[in-house]
Amino acid sequence: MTRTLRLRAALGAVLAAWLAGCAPQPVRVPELAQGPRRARFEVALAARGAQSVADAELSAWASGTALPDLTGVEARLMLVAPDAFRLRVASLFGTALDMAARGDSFTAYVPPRRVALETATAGESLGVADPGGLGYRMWSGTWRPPDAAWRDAVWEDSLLVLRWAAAADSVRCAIGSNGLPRWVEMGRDRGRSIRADYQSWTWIGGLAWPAVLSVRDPRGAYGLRCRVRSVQFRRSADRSRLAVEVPEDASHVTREQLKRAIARLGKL
Amino acid sequence: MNRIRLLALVVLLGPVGRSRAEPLTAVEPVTRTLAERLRESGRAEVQIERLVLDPISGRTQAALGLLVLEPPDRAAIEFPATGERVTLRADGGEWLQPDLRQMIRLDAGDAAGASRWWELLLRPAAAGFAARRKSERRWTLIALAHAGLAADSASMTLAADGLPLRLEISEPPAGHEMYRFRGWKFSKPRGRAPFVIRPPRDFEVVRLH
Repeated sequence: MTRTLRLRAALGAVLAAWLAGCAPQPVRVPELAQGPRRARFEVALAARGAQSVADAELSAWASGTALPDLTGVEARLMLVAPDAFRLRVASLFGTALDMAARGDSFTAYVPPRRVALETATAGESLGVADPGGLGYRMWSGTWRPPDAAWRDAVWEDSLLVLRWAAAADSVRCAIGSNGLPRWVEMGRDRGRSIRADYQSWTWIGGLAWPAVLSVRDPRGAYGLRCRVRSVQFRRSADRSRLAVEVPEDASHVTREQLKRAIARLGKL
Repeated sequence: MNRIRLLALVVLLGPVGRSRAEPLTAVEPVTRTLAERLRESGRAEVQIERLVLDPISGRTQAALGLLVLEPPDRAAIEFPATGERVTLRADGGEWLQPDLRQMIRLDAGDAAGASRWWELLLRPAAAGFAARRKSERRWTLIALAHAGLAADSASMTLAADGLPLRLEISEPPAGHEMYRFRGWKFSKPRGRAPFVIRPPRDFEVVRLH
């Protein structure tokens, strides 16, 4: 083969490869079989659920018709399985909000206003039962549908939607083709409800973890979008780090007063 | 007015500290050297290391930055690793937060609240501060309740040359942060422009309420 022929052959091969690349690609249709999706969900859930403690940095933006325009904030988050978390919003100018929940107990302290809310029975006093468990499940994406929920699951487009009851709440959870929760809705009777959208996930050593999470009520009164990063897992936690220290001279306030204090945090 | 406030504080705190603490004084002895150098040059620049105890991880987080002071009212802090910058002036300031892709515009009131301790470095004769000597080079600084801001205290350590070496700010009940100062440099002032941050194109610009 002469040099010219070799050149033509090479050009022909390149052209054929380029044309092949331009050809319509087969569209991958999400698999609509429950078995594989459940298997993927349970493997991923087991991996996340095996992490006893997770520390992370958080960027968060609150929004909603019931809130003034608030600035984005940076926070530290600690999750301790199965039912505890602590969230501390801090910046160059100090701590704006420190809150923690463990099971049904809840503490929030707003240092700039020196106001705090402490309760051991959040279900009764705040109307949110088990805030510790709720926060842990939401930020870690560890929703655990019972077997019955899989039996009654329905397809909504490519999402497999499961429904079950948890205490007084009803839960709906949509699972994507990758076996990860796409969104979760929780509601009580016809009253309050909340929806969490898992907008993206990150992989940490092969383990899927929520990376962008958006939480809102259906009326759009309150919403929070969180971007989670620098996630680190640990086997155990010093439980004292879950405790928010409230100064003795802090004023103790109601839920509504706390909400107002947080809404006024715009001032340095 | 400032003297009256100081006198009131001395009366209030006097009985507590009578047995062992030094009396409250003006802050002038603490900031004298810095004030003189600033008066001669017009601008100070110093490397800072900010150390903050994170009660969640139990670790101390460190960040290296730069503090610039230009009397009578301009201060700027920058942390190159994150790109976070704050400028403070008498008429307000800006706070650039690249992680959040936002820039907060501060009004004069915000800036006054944010710059309390930096104001003391800028204007040693500023109203509303007092000091108590703890040792030869260590002082407790007290910011009196003023213009809606609660009373506050901090601890200042001076280097052998009389310039600030360490500023420690406590945030009750458990918060603690420390600024270490290293390599003070003095030069001619550069004017207002370096103390005004223009937002990058894709950043959200917001005001505090």
